[in-house]
Amino acid sequence: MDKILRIDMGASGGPAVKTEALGDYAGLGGRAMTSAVVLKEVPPTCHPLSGENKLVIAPGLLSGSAAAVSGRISVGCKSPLTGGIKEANSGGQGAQVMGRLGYAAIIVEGKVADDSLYKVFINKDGVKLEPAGDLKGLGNYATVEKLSAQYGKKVACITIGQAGEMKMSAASIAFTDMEQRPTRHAGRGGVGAVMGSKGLKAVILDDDGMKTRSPADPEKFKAANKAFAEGLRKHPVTGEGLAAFGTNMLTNVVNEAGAYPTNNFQKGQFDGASNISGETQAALENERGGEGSATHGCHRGCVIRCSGTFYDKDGNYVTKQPEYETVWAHGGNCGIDDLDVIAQMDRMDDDFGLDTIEMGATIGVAMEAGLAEFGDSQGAIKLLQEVGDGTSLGRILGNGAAVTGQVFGVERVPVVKRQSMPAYDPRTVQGIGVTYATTTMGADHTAGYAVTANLLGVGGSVDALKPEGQVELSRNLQIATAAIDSTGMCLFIAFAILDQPDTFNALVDLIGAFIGQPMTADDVTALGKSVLEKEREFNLAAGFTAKDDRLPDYFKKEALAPHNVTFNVTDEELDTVFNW
Amino acid sequence: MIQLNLHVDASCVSLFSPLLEKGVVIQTRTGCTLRDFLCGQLGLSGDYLDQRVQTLFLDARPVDDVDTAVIRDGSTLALSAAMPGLLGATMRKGGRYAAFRKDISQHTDECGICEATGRVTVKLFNMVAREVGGRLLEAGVEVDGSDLQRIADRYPEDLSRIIRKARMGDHEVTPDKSLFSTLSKHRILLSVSIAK
Repeated sequence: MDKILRIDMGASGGPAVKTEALGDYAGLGGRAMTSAVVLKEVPPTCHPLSGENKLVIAPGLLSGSAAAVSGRISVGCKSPLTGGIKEANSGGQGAQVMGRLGYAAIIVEGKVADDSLYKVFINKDGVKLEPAGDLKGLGNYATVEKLSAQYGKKVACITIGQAGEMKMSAASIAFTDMEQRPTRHAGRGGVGAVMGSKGLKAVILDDDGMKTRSPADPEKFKAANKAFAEGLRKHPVTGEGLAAFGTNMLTNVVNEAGAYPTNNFQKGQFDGASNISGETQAALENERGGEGSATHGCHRGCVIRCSGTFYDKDGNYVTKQPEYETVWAHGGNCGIDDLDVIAQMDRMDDDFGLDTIEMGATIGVAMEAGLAEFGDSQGAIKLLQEVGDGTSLGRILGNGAAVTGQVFGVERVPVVKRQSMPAYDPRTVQGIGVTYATTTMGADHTAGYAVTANLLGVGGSVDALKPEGQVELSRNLQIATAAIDSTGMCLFIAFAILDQPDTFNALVDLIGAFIGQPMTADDVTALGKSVLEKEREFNLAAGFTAKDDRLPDYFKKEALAPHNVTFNVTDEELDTVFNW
Repeated sequence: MIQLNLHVDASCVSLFSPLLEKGVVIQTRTGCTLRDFLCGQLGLSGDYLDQRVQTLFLDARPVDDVDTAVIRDGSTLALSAAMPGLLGATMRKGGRYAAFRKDISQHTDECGICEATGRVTVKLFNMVAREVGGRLLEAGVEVDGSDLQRIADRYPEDLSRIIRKARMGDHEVTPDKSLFSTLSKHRILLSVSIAK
């Protein structure tokens, strides 16, 4: 990946493209790339939907190579949801195909002068930018169907649905999967709205004739990759549990812990949890059968295969297997315990191009406001349809939980930096609350969803049983996550490298053999810190202060059943997270 | 309480897993450590407990030490294999991220151990349900008839294929929809064994 593609949507005479060398961005991938570009090129105080904002799409450092599980892609910009820097990442085919085409980043800048839409087609011969008026108003599924008819069934598509065109703050960007379905999303922070504001409907990537990226040391790389993949396959989480039950295997456990936000974070346990658990979901999918039903990868080269395919009772394809966060957001958080209903809403989110977490949280807030009853599945579907239709109510809901809570006068709105919290109540798992509060992204589970901070040596070793340990642990996790997000590796590698030293060593060797120089723990720490420092610098310049690194007040006051706990990490402690 | 013995096709034992997720009640000796309970009474091997069962909750509190946590009359114990993600790491016994959930962790029982018998609710999740569930169901567990009916309702046409023989008390009964409907309002002492 030795070049950057710039698409200037606001160029005089109409949108224009140019390819340039990496320059200052050499050696960066994924989140390290997106955050570096946003800090350097986007004015922090600009309006997120203005021409000054930039949308950066960057595969991970190892994407496009033969490295196992390296197909994550990052999307960065100034977020219309949070007003701060954003990196949202996704699986799907985009990272691998873009990597093989040799682009380390696509940077979309400026915006069209009118409301016209464009698409850009990239293959080995170059880049073509064309009007896409025929795609206007289409959902992601219909959009991809049209693109497939024109460009063939092997291309990877990056698209927005109606939500992105309407510039809603909950709008996502879709990446097609191995079956060319738009099921994988850079969901968080309204990145789809930024793409829509530019007037860009679709990016089509065709790697026909391109080769897999070559490592600097092929022999070492091959051996390390084999050992790494074997390590993933032999571990009970990555080789067994995730394949059998998907990420939704967390439902029962989180619920048992009393950390499962229920009915808009009113309770920590959901009576209907076992009806929507990963175990129940897998049994249902196996019973209904169909191609890739209970076990499926989201991109080529994945050996974990935590996904699946959801078919209805008559065997018709509905959506990919809804993952844990989605099942929670549209399920327990709204008092709904019907997997078919949840799958239908997942399909609607994917088609309209919406973040499932933000929409589930928003509908939870709307239910608290009285727009529907908790547990009213048809009411929830109707609210979601309003978003896709772009009605006045839908425009409110499509801008997320914070806006919806404000419009309808709801106090219990589970957001940080205006972004909705994911599926773990921070009162029960207070360390996750520290991460929600302080991450540069707004409440985000993946910002501390990795990895073996201690094993990597990030921040040194911390005594996990010390009460104050959670601040140090959150810091170390955020550093490690920022580094992993830059490689293109899936965060689910965490357990295998945590538990199996030989798998950890294989990963380090894999990265070292690919880039041609040995990696050390210090390198990982430096990379992660540098990403976070850039993101903090941007947010500071955008006007964020320590007051933005807080959970909503009610988490400190309302005790959560069954443990009757409140969030008790002090503001002073939160303010030390980034002291290194 | 109604005693119900089902002899089922070997491939169908897993259909009863929802009972294990929700929790089954067993009469047992209490006042012992979790290790004593799980290995001594439920028959888990020490290795299985140490290696495979990575996450345990006693009355909704994550357990770090199975040799100090004590099972009591009325307790609910949930067992799971290793879980993905940060939450999975956080909930693991003795895990690196235990500080993240220190406010809800199970603390050492300081009441002292006294032998008694009592009723304990056991929940089994994911791989552990697959591997241990059959043994537990065969030994006999107490469940709500309504939960049993819910399973029967999912396979109304297949009940006779799934269940080869059913006995209620001393009498053989037909395992059809009406049987489970009749039982739905009762507590059931259920055993599920594989038909020979």
